[in-house]
Amino acid sequence: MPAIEIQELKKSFEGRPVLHGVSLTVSHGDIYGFLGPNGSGKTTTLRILLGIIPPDAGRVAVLGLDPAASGPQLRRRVNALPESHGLYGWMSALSYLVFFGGLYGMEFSGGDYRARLRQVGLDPDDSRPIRTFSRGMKQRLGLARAMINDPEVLFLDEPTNGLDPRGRREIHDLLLQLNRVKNLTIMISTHILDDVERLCNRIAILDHGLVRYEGPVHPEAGGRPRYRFHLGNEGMIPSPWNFPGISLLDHQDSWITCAIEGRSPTEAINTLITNGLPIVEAAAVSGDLEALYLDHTTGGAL
Amino acid sequence: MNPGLILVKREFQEDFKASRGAVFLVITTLVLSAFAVLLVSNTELSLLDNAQAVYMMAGIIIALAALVAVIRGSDGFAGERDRQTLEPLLLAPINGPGLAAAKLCGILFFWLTLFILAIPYLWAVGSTGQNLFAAILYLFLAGTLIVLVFGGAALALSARMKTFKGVLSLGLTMLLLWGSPVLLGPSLRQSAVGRLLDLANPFAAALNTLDSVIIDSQGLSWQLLRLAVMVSYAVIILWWLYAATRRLEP
Repeated sequence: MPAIEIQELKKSFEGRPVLHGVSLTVSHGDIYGFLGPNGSGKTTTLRILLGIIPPDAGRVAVLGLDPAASGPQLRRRVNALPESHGLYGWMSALSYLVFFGGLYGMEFSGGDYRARLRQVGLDPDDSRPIRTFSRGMKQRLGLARAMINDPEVLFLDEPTNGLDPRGRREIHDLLLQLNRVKNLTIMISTHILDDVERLCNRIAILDHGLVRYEGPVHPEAGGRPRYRFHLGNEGMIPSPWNFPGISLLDHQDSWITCAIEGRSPTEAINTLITNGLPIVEAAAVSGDLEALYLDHTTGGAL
Repeated sequence: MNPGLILVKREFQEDFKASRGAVFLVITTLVLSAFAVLLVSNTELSLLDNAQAVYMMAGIIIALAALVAVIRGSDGFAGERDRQTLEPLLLAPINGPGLAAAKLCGILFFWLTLFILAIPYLWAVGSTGQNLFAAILYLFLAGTLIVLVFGGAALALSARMKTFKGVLSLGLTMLLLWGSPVLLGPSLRQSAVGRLLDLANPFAAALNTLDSVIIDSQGLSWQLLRLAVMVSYAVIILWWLYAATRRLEP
């Protein structure tokens, strides 16, 4: 049974069709990217999956449950971070988390809540009201709230929007860790292709209410993310190439291109350096996803 | 703790920790103080008898309660929608009527605060006269029903309309429409239309109950019809609120 299954999903608002028959499947443990221009129907799809709004037609199942029929039962097992933070400005981070923990019926001690704040990089002793927090801190707190019920499926709407590069990297690492350690299924709606390349193993591209592409992020590399590494000197490529999870795709001068699977780029770089490859620079190969996105979209609402 | 109680606790905390509650309380105190000074000075000058001063003070408290109930009710869902805090609540495993019940409890808690705050003012205005205890008792009863009616109606509108400003405009218009027949002169109120308006109007029912108890010293049996009107309105509004919040959208 897949974690999420949508078949021929349709939805209109005041007679204006938004979803024309969306179909997709997300397996357990996937980090699934949901891409598309503004107004393409991403947020509407997420809200239907969460049971907040009902579909007009089609079949939707999350963890085998119909979100429209079994809302509260499903919402104990899933959670989401909407694009807006939805934080109470007058509360402290700790009291906000305790409030939502209570709503979900979680029986945590004060120490558990504090540990959860530390996990997202927030200081549990910070008693300032949330309205004084930076955007990044609010995003982290929103993520802590979205993880409060230890969900099996997590929906994220633009999770790194407005974060600086360091903040984005930290959120990426946290999501990858949760995915690996807890086998958390994550569905991310975003425009930021770098997020998708770093996090996702599969994507759907939505345009004008229809799925135009569903499949791996890098179809030409068997769905594995690709990275280019600059070596400090030439001619140091080991033969045979024997690094599990790191496939050598190309070697030109002092540059190599690799596909990575089952490990993070940082782990892959560390493995290569430990084995004598003098890597001085690394970059995700992003042109493919951008081309894929542009090929399957026609521009959204402004 | 039950999720519903946690929501009620948050509503209660917001009244005392957030600036919203403090502003309401300060304004309420200023309004009550100003009217108390006016009424006491009129009583001292023998322009008003003591019972009339208590009745007028109770009427002002009922009007304030209805106004605050409309403002708080309008903010209930539409305000949260404006501040984008509604969606995380909708993601939690609690249904719409449960959320509405918690918000209505928050409004009733605020009414209780206002009522406790008003008792010293009623005492100051009417301690030397008769029926003060009955006035306080019936003020609590009628005030609670009025807060349920107007707060519940504003919450139901708030669940269906998108913006706080829109709901507040409609809620205040609704309050003025219910309140305006009370301003009819005594002769017009004695006409058939005036009597009908009085009978079908929960706001008039509340004020007429206070009039009957404080000024005419009439007992419970005289108040039953008017109390029944207010209770009927409260039941209808609560059913409407339940129906309006069965499916809430962000």
